Amino acid sequence: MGLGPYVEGHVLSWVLFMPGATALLLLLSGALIRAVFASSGLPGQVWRAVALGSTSLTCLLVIAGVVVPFDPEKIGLQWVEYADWVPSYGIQYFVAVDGINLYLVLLTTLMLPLVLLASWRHVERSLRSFIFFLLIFESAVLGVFLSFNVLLFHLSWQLALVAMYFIVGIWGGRERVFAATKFLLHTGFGSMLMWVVILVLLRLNFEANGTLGLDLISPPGSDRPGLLDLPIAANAANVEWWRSQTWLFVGFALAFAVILPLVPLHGWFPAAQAAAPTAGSALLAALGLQMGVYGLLRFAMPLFPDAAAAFAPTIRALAVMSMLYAGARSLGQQDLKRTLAYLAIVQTGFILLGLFSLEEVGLVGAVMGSLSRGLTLGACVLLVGMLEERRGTRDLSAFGGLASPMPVFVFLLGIALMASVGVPGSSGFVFELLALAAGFDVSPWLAAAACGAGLIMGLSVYRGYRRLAFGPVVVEENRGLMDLEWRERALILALIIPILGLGLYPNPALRRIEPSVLEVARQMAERQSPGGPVATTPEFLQGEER
Amino acid sequence: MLNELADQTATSLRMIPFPPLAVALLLAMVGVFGRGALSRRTVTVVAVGGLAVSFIASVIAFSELVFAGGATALIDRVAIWIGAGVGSSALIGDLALRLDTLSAAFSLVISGVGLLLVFYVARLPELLASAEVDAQRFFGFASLQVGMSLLFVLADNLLLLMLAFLGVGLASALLAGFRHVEVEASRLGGRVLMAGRVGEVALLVASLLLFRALADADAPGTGLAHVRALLLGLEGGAAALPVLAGSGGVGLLDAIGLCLLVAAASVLAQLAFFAGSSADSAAPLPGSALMQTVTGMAVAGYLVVRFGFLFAEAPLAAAAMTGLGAAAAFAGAVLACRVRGISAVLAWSSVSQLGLVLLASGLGAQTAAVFQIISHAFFKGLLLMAAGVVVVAVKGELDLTRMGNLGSRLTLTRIGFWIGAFSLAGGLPLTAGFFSIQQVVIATRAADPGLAHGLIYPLVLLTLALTAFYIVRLILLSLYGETRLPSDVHWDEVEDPEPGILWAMGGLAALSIIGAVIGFPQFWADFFFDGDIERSNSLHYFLAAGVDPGPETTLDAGQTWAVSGWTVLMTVLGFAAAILGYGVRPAGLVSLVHWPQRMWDRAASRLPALPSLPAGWRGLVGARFRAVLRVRDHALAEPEPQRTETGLLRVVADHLIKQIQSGFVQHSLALSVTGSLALLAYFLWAGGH
Repeated sequence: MGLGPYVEGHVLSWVLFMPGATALLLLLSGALIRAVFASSGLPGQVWRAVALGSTSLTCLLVIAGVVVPFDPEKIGLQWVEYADWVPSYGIQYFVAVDGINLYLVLLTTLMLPLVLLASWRHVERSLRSFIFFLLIFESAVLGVFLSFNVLLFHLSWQLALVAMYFIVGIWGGRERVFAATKFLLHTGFGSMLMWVVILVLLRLNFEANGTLGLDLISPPGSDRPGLLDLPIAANAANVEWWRSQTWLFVGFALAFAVILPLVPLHGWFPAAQAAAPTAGSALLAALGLQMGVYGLLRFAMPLFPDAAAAFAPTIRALAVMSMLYAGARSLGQQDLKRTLAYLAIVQTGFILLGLFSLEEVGLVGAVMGSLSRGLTLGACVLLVGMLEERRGTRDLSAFGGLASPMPVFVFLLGIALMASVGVPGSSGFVFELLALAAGFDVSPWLAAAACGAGLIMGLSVYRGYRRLAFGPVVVEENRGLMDLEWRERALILALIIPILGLGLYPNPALRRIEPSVLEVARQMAERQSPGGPVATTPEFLQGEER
Repeated sequence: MLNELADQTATSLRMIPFPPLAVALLLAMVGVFGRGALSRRTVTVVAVGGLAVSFIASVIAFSELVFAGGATALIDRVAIWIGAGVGSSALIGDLALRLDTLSAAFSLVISGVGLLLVFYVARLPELLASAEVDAQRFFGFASLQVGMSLLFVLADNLLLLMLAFLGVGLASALLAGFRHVEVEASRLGGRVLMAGRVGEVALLVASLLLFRALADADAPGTGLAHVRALLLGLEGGAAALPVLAGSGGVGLLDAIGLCLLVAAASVLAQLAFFAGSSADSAAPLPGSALMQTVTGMAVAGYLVVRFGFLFAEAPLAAAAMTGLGAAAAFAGAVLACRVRGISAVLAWSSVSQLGLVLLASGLGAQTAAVFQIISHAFFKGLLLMAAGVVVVAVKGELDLTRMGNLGSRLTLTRIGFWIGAFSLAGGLPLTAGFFSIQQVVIATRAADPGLAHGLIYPLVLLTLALTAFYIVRLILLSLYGETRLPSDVHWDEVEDPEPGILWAMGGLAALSIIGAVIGFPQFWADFFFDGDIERSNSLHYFLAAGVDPGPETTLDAGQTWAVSGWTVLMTVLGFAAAILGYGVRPAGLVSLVHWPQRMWDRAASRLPALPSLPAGWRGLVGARFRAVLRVRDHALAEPEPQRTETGLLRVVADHLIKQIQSGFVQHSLALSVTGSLALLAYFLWAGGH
């Protein structure tokens, strides 16, 4: 049954497994040392150093082995690795990169060393388990981004959620158990729906081809059909309801909307952000949320294009409502991390607007947006974490006038915040521009409302920033605050530089993203049933070619 | 469509905006990673040097353009910036600079006046707080502002325009919130930033609407060119407009025009915020106001003139702009008459002047708008410098009522003040301001005899009178009369600044006068030179080579004389009122003028106070309107004249006539001025019938 392995180098496997394998290796050697020397195992410092080394190496590997040699002209997947895993159940090990996940993989491997550095001092309790879960989380998120087998994707997805559950639940702040439970209930509900849809897909594929297979696309070098070759009825007119794209799309979309997060499914997110430790909230905001965008673009939309087109107006409206709601909610926030959580929801709105414009510019904007959101929110959350580490609180009323004791902190936070509200010259602007360009094409009023929501968010971000940074130093504890030390400056700059780089010169990134997005658009157009809603056929496919 | 053939590549253009931006970046980096590493001297040398390079590059580019022979524009494609999509939905924005005649005029003015102002602040360090870091921050922000303004006027496409617009707004906010330890200052900074952001989003919406409209109106084979032209190459945009208008897009053009207007209005709001807070204790530094005035004006003015071609096709948006401009011109002048802070007067004056620019541009008189911006940069730069000298002389005191008689020590500064005032007031021939204002007035007079003629023309004339009034009031209160200085100021220490500053002021003073030749109206050229000069309005013909400034607005000779007469009359009236109110100050007149105010006070005391508004709007809307009518400040150090008698006749008899007979030269002078005004008014009236 198996096809045998198809391999274009093992670099992706190295990337994917290195963090997780490091975690397991550390666990094992710890147990071994404990058994042999009857000591308490490897000390936490060793764990930390090894983890930092391993994650940095992973990042370097991605840069040197994947990003640099990535061929921007090539349409389709690169560095494909394909091997049978449990072929009788349709589970294949199928990983690859293209323009869509390339930068997300880079972002993931970049975030981990930074997060480890950021929590270098202030995680004391169960340090070894903390590092273990961080490493597992990295591998899981990489699995989500790299998988082209739906089941592998789903397993990684679940693993990432579980790892995050422990990070929030064990190392979080005051309401950590509540927040972690809320997180797991929401995302678990979504995962359940995703699982059901996957089972239906498995069955449909079996009925159509007589084999069990869950590869998204036909693996290179074989004639074995992928799920994208599977015809699925556009709506439930002639088939049982659960066979139709409508319901399958809803299942996937709900799972992804929870984690995006989209109002009204967002309830878990501000709570989790507020309760999670700095490392957890940075990873959640920078990487966790991007899994939703990626899932929509990679799986939900190409698999169910008719339903995506039919739901597009609704989703766009929901996205803008979600933005307005989040903007309004953020106005009165006292907790800095909650403000950032609402900021993330506003950015979600822009991303969804671009995604469900179903135009190429918008799709590129969405990919760019997910990258930019990861970078900007990651930087903001880490900075707020540094402040919390010094003062033990994130409450706005405890601050004021920080520009005097901590000028560098205030400067860097200013840049990160401006980028996250889409100021020109930052990555945020590029993606909002692309998303809005597409948005204005399909529904100008919604796009204008989105601009308004962006303005509200900008206002609330600036008000928070002003109360934090400017005015006289009222609270005595703030007077002697230490400004950022070199470790902290360096790790924030590691995020700020790509933010500005993408803002000032986004073209190298756009050039790599675009062919893959075109490919997804082509897949959607091909699968679209002629009788279904036609509004989606992207204009650029009818006209000129590049 | 793209007009590419007529564009000539010139890589020197990047030397205009980038040196100041590089300086700003350098100072920011030093600020983050090595505070205090640079001495104050180094910082000023670097900042002035950056702007000097920029100014020299502007001059070179200007001459290249003039002698380019046939090229309508120079273009410098620095790098690719954003590019996504294919076909007609392609969205491309390059980091490309384009210099046509309009950009050339603006880049000269911005870099030149910016250089002078920064040099001035560098030579007058008392304008800043003394710490080294403050100088570093100030010069960093100022360089950012000038650099971004230059990028704005040189931007080849709307995306870059947007980037630069926000950059200017950001720099303004940083300058406004310079004293960030003060809550008020940081609030002001926030307002300025948000206003800039609103403007930037409006620009974004305008660009995307254009983009969308052009993609829709895609004619076969021209789609790509259209989109590139309109979204990106501003020049080609004009050519593509008929396509839009032809496809029933007039409503769309209005919408786009209104978005652009919002962007211009956001700059107006920024200026108003500055002005509104200039009286507060946490007022922005005089240096900040200085930079803001010139760059803000240039940015807003450039925006509306650059898109004049679009407003010409969008009647609603153009009418809105005219109305907004007239309202701002009048309201700014009224507020400048009532505030007591020396910088607040000049800041409201800038609001008023920007109003005039918007008004002219809305009426299609683009040359008048540009000329007004240029001459404003000269005389307002001069006035701001002179005001800075005064403020430094009185140790940071901003309140006009705590100055007085400084002119006897600051003799050279006083000359500068008067030259600036004559040019600003615009009523006196042979200054740049006279000819620029006159063109604006002619445009309002020549406008469609609907609402514009009936309302805006008199409103503008009234604004001129108010302008003359407030600037003379400022001069009289600060430089003449009794000394009312704060106790910590030693009279002996009050003296004219060092020669470097005087030279800078002298340069601007000269430009305020000889700047007239830039846009000398044909009418006056014919009058003075008997028709020997054919194309006297060189600015108009220069601009026409690059953009469409509309026809040169002219009236017939009789009307032109009437307009000139009215302009002079209103200015002289304003001068006279100020002299009577603040210089001569006859008590009967004072009482007369106070009568409506007392009435209003009585009425206003029964009105509920308006809800609290942000400072800028509070100024514009007026917490209570009554103060607007206050011609004479109550808080002058000397007591009110005793008013024992009541009744107009007794007041006139006992005070006014008595004072006229007092033998003071100024009193008889006032009488003769009043008399000649009455005569002039009669002749004008008689000439009209």
